[in-house]
Amino acid sequence: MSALAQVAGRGARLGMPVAPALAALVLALWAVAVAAPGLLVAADPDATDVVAALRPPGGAHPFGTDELGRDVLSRVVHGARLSLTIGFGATALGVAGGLLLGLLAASGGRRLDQLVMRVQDVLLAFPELLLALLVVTVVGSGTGNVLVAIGVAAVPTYARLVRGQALTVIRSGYVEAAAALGVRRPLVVVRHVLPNVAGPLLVLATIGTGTTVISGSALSFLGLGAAPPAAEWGAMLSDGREFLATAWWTATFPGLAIVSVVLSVTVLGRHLQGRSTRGEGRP
Amino acid sequence: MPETLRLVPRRLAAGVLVLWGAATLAFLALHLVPGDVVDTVLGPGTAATPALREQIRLDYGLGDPLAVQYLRQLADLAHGDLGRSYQLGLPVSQVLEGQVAPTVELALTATALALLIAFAAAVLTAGRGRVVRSLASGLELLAVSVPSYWLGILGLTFLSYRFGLLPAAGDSGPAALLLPALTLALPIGGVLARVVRQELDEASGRPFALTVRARGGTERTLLLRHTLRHAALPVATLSGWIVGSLLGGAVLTETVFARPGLGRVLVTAVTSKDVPVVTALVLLSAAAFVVVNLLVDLAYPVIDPRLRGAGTGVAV
Amino acid sequence: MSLLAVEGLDVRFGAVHAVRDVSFSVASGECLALVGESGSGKSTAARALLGLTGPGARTTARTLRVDGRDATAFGAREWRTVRGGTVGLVSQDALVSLDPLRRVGAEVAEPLRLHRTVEPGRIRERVVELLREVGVPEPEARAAQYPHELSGGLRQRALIASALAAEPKLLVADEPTTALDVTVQAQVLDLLARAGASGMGLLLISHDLGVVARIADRTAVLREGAVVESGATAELLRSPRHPFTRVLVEASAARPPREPSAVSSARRLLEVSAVSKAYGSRTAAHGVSFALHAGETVGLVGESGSGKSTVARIAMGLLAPDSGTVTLAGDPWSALPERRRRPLRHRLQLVHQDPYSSLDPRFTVARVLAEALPGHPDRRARTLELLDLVGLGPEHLGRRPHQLSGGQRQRVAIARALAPAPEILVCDEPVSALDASVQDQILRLLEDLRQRLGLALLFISHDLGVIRRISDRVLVMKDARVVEEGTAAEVLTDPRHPYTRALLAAVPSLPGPVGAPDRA
Repeated sequence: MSALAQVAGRGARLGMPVAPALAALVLALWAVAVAAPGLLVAADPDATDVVAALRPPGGAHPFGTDELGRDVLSRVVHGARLSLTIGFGATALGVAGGLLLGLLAASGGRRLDQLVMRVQDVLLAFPELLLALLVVTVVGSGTGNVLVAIGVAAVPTYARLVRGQALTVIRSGYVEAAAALGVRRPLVVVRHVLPNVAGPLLVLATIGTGTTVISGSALSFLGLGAAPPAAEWGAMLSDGREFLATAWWTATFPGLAIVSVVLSVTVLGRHLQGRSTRGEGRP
Repeated sequence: MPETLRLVPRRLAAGVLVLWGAATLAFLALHLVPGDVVDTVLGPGTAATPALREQIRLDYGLGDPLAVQYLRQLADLAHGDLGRSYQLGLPVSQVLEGQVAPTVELALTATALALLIAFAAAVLTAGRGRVVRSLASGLELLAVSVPSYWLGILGLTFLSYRFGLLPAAGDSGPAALLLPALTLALPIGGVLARVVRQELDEASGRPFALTVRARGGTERTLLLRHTLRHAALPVATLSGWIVGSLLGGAVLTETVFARPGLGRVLVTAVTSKDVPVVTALVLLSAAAFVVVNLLVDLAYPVIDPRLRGAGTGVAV
Repeated sequence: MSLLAVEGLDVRFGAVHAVRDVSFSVASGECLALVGESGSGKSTAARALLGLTGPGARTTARTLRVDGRDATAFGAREWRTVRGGTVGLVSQDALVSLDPLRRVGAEVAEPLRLHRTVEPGRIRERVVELLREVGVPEPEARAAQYPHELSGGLRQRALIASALAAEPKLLVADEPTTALDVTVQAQVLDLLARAGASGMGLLLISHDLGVVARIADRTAVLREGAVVESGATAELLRSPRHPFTRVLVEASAARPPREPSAVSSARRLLEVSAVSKAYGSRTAAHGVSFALHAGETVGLVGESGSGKSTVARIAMGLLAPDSGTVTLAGDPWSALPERRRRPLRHRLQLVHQDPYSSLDPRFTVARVLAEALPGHPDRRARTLELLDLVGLGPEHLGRRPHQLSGGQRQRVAIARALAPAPEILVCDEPVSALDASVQDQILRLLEDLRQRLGLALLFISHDLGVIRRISDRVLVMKDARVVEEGTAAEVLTDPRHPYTRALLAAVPSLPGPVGAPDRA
């Protein structure tokens, strides 16, 4: 009886983190692709070979070649740098902006809170992708601009989470106790609010990175991000679309790359989320 | 429900506030664009006499002080005038005319599909064993992790080109609508299914569920008479997000499937820096958001009587 | 023949053995009480009688007979006929135990439909009848309302009506009055007692011996899943045999108001004068005045929403009053800007209600106390001294809140409040979230600290038993005003205000004083 329970318990302990571990492995692989794509693939992602155009997967080209005879595998691996820089960079920007505005709203008094929240209300009325498109219209297209556009569009979401969490902490008994001890407000924010906001923020940012990776590739797909010759997943999808009827591989593999990243960050994020709620739920 | 109706003016005021903010943002965007608007109107590489340039400047009212331009734009908007396209020289309303219906059709179909997917998945898996549930949550995870436009491309590749099951493009009848609507609906349905399932699980663990079971109610009674209604609440809360996802997704879906619609217009406008069209579309989406939220605010008390009469926070 | 016979009941959740070899029986017309603290397994045992211990539980029993039928062999279908039909369940809080999205009438009607006790056409009529029987005024109108629109007492009556609807022979009432204010509590208990008088069996689950003494014929005391003592209620309460029962009885015994402390100097430490505070249109405090002298304990009692906590926050200088003033040892306090108040804050400290939210979940005990000892020359020694003062040891230093019990968390919160060596401790419901035996320990600790350190205590509680035990002087608050004030003896033995009298009459307590007032 107890032996059975032990086995089940161990199974649960070992069985649970398989998916998150796999997700971390996939992300680590992509990190290598970003830092040193040469380690993973030998072929030059930009080398054209008109003779070998639109070759199906196999042989020297495991993922086939595109319309200019470029190696799709190599382009997918090298494309990680641009695609993931946009995705992770935009999330970092959104988190930084959200943290600043959210903390300001939660701890800066009622007037400021009202002001920040009303602006948030307006911004939240725009779909993130549309807001990003508006920013791109203003600042123009290109990788850096797309990163900024998506990052700015993500700020309201993070600001709302930070404000909500921060207010919960600020209204808690321990912050009241700190006030009764005469701890100054800025110190309370650094000591109690920030660390308690960080956990949920990390979870949301991890899951949110999936969204920004998708949005970034979407803008490139629309021709607003990375300029044509550069390897970028969204742009590759856009190119490959024209050869759908004859060469399915050109649009399939870049898409799978996006899915692998988004799936991994989502699994990892939900794992972190589960862990934090379980940890806090303990009596 | 007179008490609920009394909230309408306040909600409307809040909505107008949001729209005013959106208009202001749009105006700022218009004037933050670097470079001379006249160049945009003229198009790239066109030489024009200073007289023509001055004429354009007058036509678009660009010579006036910013404050005057701002107030004029607000006044125009209040009259339903969305401005004039730089690229086409036509009133924006004329540019958008005829594009609204296909997008709305796509969005409504996708919403219906997403809700169907979400509730069907949740009801079929509620209270089931571990295998069924992990399978369902795996599929939900996949649905939210796949970029919808890529899904559209795959659908085209395999269903249309490979097997010729569905028409590849165009706007010809329900068959042509199915694939675009489905690709738009899947990620939304995935999120909603997860939310509904979580709420069903949570509700069936609450004390009132114990009461229902202690009365001799079956799990089916509990689901149909009690918890399903609870699960409608978080879905209503997400309606703003749904509108956003639909509009954002429409931009991509329409491009992939070469369908007419507002999304296509937007992409063209962004590419050619046709700011009046972009801002008009942004305003339109904000208006859709405001209207949907207003409807949801009215629907909330119908679902949850606890909200009747009490002044509740803005549901976003 | 007994309605219910249980022998050797065991419930396990994985490795946790929640109910251990429990046996009891209930005859018709009889009331049996299962008494225990949180986690004692009493609710789980009650749910086992309905086959509702949940999918994660393994339930076994040598005998489980419900109304003469052997329930150990029941399948899902048989259980459903028992639930509601033979055994009805009333849970703690009707606000959450009735579906909040459905009308009261629909909730009461559901068992009628499920068990087909009356024909469909008569259901409405029967619902109104049932509501009337449990003492709900204007039952037609109430049936059309939602649970949240009813007062706590009416809601609980509606829940009872729904449990009685299919005419069960046994009613299981799990903490049926815990969520109610004391005055309402008494009425609901009377209603349950009446149901028993009509021949129904009643199984009462409670942590409150006062409630049990009021209506139970027999009582079984549970601890860690096992019955430690059982017998006729009066006998058990008069002469408890098991040490744990003795602790419970001791903790809830009615005591005479304690001897007033020897307030040596009669020095006024804190003076609250005509303080008012409103939130929008809601008045939280109106013209509240009182003084706290060095070394004394002032008890502030009132039901939920009476404004007690607002007064505590204003006294602490954490909330600015709309009008009126607070002075600290004769000097301005509420009128000071926070910058000038901060250096004086060490003189009065707060012990918060919820011992979980009062500690940062990320902080270890050592860090919690370190925050309260900024720049202390010998922080470690002082930390250990503080822990010792509240009965904790160095082994607790590295623990985080979730690794501590409720009582230990409250001890840490008290240690933190003592760290800056205050003269005044403001305690806002410091024991209301704790079990009776733990309450007892914390109250002893506070009393001990008051004497050893010469503290003045402003002690806020909704519980007259607690207030009676610890206070020298008592203030009674109702609807944002102080309605009565005096020494504990005056207020609690000879109340002048009708509200205080109602409050006192409604407190469920054990008959007669047990032992001497506790001054350990």
